[in-house]
Amino acid sequence: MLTDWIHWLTSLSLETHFWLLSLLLLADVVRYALSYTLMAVYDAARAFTRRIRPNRRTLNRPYIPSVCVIMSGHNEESGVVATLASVWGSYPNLKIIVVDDGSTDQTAARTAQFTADRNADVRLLRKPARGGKASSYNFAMRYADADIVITIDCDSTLAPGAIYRIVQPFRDPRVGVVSGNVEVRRPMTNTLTWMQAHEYLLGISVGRRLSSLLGTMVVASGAFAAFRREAVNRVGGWDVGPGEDSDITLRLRKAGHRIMFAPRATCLTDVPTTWGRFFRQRCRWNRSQVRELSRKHLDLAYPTTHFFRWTNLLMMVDVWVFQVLRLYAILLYLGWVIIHPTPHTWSTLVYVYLMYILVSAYGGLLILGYCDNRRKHLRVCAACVLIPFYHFVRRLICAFSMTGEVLFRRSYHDAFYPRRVRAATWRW
Amino acid sequence: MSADTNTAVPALSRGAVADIWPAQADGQLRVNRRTEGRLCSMSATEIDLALHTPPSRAFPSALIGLPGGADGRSRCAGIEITDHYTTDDGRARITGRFAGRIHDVVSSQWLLPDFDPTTMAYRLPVDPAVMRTWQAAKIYEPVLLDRVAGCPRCGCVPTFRSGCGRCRSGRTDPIKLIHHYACAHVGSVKEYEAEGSLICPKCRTRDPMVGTDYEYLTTHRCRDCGWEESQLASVGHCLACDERFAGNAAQQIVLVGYRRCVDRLDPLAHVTES
Repeated sequence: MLTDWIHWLTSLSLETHFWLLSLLLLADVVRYALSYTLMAVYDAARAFTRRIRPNRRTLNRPYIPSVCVIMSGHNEESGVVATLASVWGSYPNLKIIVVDDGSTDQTAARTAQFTADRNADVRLLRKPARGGKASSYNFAMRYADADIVITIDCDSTLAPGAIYRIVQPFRDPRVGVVSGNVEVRRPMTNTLTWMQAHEYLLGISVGRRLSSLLGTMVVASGAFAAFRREAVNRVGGWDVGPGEDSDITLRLRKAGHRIMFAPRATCLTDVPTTWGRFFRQRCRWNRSQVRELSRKHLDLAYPTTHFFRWTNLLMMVDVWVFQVLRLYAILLYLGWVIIHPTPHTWSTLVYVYLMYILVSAYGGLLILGYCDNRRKHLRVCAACVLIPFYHFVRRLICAFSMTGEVLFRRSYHDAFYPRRVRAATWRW
Repeated sequence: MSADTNTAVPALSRGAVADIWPAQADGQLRVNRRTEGRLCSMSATEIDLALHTPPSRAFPSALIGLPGGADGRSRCAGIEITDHYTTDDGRARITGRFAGRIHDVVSSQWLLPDFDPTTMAYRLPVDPAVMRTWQAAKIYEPVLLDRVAGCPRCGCVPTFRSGCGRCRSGRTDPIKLIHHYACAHVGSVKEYEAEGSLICPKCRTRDPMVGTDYEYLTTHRCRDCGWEESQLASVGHCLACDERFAGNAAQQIVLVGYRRCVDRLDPLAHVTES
């Protein structure tokens, strides 16, 4: 069978190869592999230049603005203390605000206990009923009197020095948001977390370097992001989500602020461990992406608006062409292959799958090239064999949720926000 | 000594063995100098005892234990020594009367700590150091009565109130906030009040309905330090030393009382009719 397959493969003309791999070559190779390679070359050249001619003025000037960390959680008793422990004492004069969003468990009690035990400067705000993350952040913003506000999820922990690193891009007064580098806390829990860890490393640790470089970042992950307080107040704080993190990122983009990525400001977060939870999470993310980029903030691409910038247009094109159109193209391609079976259908699919593994393995090399702890990430990179399958499942979920959002606006029925808030909020 | 008239009390015959604990004037027993003697005579007010071994030093008072209590326990009474002397046959004897600090203490079945409102503390009627000697002599046994919160500095009983979690002040004012569901804005009622009605300062929605459009959130602002938090902390204030502390920082004071584990010797019960 193998020899037959090899014989079939070698008998293909170059043109046939191109047609079979057209989606892979035009989308994944060009958008990701090639662009990441160019970025790696650029970064290597820049690192080399800095080594031979270091910018002493920048190196010798510590930048330590006042920082306030905001944490919001609903029934997060299992993780809130670990998060607080990783945050507290990790930055000079750090202020911490914990918003208990109507928890019915011991979240507030454990926060209060942590505060009492460590004599920590933690302000605990309690809401009598769950109101959603956006209102929790806005509630906390009333008391945040620091220059920089950092949001951290209660199921995440920070690596040492993460806060110092995430605030460094704010030296530039144009910067309004900085996204931290979010990695999976326990990547080897099961196959699903293993594959998600690979996705996070390639999509965030490497991918956001490029989008930050090009100025096309869409979202600063709510799990770990830093905001200039003044800028957030000027745009009115967070709006009701889901997807409140991408919404405020885009609104700050509209307000003329730059969105940056701090690759060495690492935050470790929990990811779904079951396919059911994974499905719900991805549905929520995809729906909010459609809502933000196709309705609420579609005007980012309008050349006539006063906030138009070419990077905004590039960002929109990137999302719509390389995420949405490619998604439906892949599904159409697969549908066509299934509807028109040939004696070589399985051979074709195996060939395409192997090529995707090759691209994923190249992504793994890029991850290892950029990361500090290669030994730790080597195991994650070994997931490249399963990554094409994982991305296929992810795209199916993506197609399902995006189509549902376009046709039925399902994001307004997401239980991520309580019913009374969903009923009252604005519809985009 | 002749037979007792009170039949309920077992007769104390002349020559009954007596335990004698020498004591100091403040009531502290000298447990390690306990001695034995024999009853020579006893009246309603006085007792005469012959000691087996003469004391090395004279003592002002003593606790005596005589047999015949309920369940085989001894009967105890305190005496003030009125006379030390040696008989013709060379034996040491003491005479004492039923009075004094020792007698008062041993007369009580229970020794319980009382709350003193002037010092805001619980005090035993007997010095704890003295009670330790009574406990060592197995005259009284400790009984756990209660556990109360105490000032971490002086141990007195503090007062508790809700107050500022930062400066421990009790002078706080409630602040009413509005959470507007539609735009997630959270602001004080004053921020919403404009043109005689409620207008959301973020999305300019006019006259929202409470419950369907917005909810109230409450925080508390400290008048002294300006700290604002949604829940007041439990604050302890010691009225004795003026210390203010977090409610969970109070020390735990164990209230212990003492129960007499011997019977009281009632001399009147042994007085003859004649």
